[in-house]
Amino acid sequence: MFKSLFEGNALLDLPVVTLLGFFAAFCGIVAWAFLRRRAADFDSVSQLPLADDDVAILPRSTERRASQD
Amino acid sequence: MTDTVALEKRRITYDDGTVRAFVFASVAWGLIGLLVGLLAALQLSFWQLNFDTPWLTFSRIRPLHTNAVIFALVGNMMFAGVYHSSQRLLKSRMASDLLSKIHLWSWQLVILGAAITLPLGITQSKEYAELEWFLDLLVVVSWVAFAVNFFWTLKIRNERNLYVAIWFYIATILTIAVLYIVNNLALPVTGTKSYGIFAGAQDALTQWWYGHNAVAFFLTTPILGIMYYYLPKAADRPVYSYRLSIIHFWALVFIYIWAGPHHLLYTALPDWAQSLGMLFSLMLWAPSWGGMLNGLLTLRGAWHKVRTDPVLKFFVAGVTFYGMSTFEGPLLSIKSVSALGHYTDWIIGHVHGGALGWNGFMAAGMFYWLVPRLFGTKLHSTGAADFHFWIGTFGILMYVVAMWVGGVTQGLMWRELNPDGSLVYPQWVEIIAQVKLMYMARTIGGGMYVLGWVLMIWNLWKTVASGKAVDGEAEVTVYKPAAGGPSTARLVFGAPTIMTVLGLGACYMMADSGNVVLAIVGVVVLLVIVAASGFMLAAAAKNRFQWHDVTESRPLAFTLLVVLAVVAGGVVELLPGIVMNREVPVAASGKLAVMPYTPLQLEGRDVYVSEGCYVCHSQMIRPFYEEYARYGAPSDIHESAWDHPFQWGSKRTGPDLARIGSYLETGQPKYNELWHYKHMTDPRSVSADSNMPGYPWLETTKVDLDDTPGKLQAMQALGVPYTDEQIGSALDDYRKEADGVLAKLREQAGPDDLAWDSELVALIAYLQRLGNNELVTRTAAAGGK
Repeated sequence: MFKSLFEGNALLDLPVVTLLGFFAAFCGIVAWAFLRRRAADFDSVSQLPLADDDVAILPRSTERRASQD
Repeated sequence: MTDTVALEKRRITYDDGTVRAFVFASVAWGLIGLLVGLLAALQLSFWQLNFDTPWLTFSRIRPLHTNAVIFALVGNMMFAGVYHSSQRLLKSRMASDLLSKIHLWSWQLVILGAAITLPLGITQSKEYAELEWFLDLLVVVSWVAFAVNFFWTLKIRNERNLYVAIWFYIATILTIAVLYIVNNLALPVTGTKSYGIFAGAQDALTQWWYGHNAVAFFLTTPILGIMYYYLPKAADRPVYSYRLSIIHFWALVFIYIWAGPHHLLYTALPDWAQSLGMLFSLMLWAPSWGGMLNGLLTLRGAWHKVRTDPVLKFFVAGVTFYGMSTFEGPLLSIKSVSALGHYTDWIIGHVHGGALGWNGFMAAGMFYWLVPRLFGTKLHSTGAADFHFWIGTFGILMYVVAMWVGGVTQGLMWRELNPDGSLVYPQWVEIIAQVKLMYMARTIGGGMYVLGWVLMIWNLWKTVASGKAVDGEAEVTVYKPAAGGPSTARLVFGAPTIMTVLGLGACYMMADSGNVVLAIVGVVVLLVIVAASGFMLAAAAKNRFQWHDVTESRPLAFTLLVVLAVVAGGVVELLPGIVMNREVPVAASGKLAVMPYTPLQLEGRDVYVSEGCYVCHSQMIRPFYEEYARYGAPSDIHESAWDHPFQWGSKRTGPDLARIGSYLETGQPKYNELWHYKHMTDPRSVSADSNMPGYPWLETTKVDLDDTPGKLQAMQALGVPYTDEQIGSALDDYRKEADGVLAKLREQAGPDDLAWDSELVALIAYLQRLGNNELVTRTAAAGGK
């Protein structure tokens, strides 16, 4: 099936059309990021690395995941 | 953001033991990888350092250097960063300590296996994919353990949102899995030898789809994730623009996967694939620089810290090198620039700017930040870390500039013509002599970098000694999703995905210009899609659940969409080449224009592959007049139709060999058998200034003839047109042809005690075969560029 598909068309068609489609989808994401998303959402997520400081550090030999279990 | 309901608060302890182990592995293996690289650099200046010893020879240890730096130094560093940051960003200990251990130790076993097998000449001879099939299986086991553990941790996380670093990790895990498996599909022939299922141009396209994206998704995306986590932490301020990081991510996922063919410009690969690679490489400029600026601007208001904090120094320089490399990469993808730079040391400078500057400096910055925290202490010496930074920076610059100068010199000398059209520098050693100084400068630069790495090891060691291993602990809030959210299936098959797929179909109908009705329908469908998308975007603001918001907090949906983007891009690019017939034209004699290798030539080719000749010699003549004048007619795509694996190469420390057996239009070998014999056993005996290592052991090492019929059978199974009769008479044919080579050697006053089943006889037969095809070559087209 694939062979007949490719033999019936220029080899370039499928990759070029797909890449144009991908580019359009990417442009949609850009539009979404700049037009629709609230700045407050971004601010809260961008703080995640700064909000994760360990509250304590334990000696290696002490309990491991007991508290999680 | 997804609505959730808080259940309870909990204290958790992170698994930092695994992080410490990966840091240690990266630092230690990294030193070995860098030292091997230093030796390889020295060997290019002093051939004596090959010691005429197989496992110390340049062509075998150069792949060891690249694999060690990529998979050991960067791989282990990446895992350390992923394990450490993911637990904190997801507010969860890794899901399975057992899987963490399996991943850690199986990965070290892979590296140990590479360190043993590559110097022994057990290799597939495909760049960054040299490991043979049994190690490939171990890589898969290790990667699956990593992936399962990571996605399981995503599932049990205690943080609603997935920070952008996690997105980069997801893309890394999935894409590397796809790339590695597809590119390493192979048919094992013996316990240590396999033939890849792709051949020639198909193999080239697949290999560089893998090779380029290994750079993208192993050396870039995970380190970007690490940048987006550790740079804000070190600077103590959030990333400059989270918006930009989202665009950076999706741009890389959508675009990077297409850029591989820029490694194959002006080769026998179809033009459309080359142009596609160039176009997408140029498009990468924007998101890459967006990412770099996002990293650097994160330091707004904190630049004064860079003066005193070595961690920030390394991060700033690392991100800047990322910008430099991602500027230079697209530049080298422009066809006219590639015509000058490809196969030269310019490319070596380019990759080292990325590897030493971006990967190495990000690793050093992360280690200096991480190790004190993993051992509950302070960095032993800030001054030593600063000195590491400066000596490393000067080392990289010296290395890169030397390779730029050397590479451009090579490119210009290769193409320099006299008014009568003859080459100004026909002797290869003249060109090598011109860049020897640059090779020395490169070695000194690399040496400075290694010195900095050693200093870092000392500094980290003293830091570890002054503290005690500690595991981080955190109090987290456990959430459960609120009822009413859309299902994962609804997200994956949501309107944006359907619109994209329908749009692709509509475009394809338009592109099929043979059918007017289909083209009109395509236009109408496209217009409808555009209008519907506009309405949906407007309506989305009023919805409770916005598609991308929800998707980015649903790992499964997010993962499936990334897979869709990566796999679709890869498949569409590779499929046309793979499904088309491997047709080799029939010559005037009635035989195939390119005949399969004889048993002797096939064994010789395996010697060529095993010794890693591709490291310094290409087999791909580009359609330039100067290449025609030096090597002969441009290579044709059919000439490598039976080559499992292809050996087009990517670097010419020595000349191209595609027509070494059929020089220019004489149809005769460029050199006789005796010349090859002398050249392989003692290169200086035929070319006084050559820097090629000798391969004297080929004279005494015997081909294992028990495997020869099986190799032909494997080739037959892969589509090479061997008949059963040829397989049946393989050993007799081998002996007959080998005796012919020996007879010629004796006629040429060569040795009379060379064994007929020595590897050297097989290799000479293979080299004399190269270019000996009845194909109608593109001689006439060789005049223009």
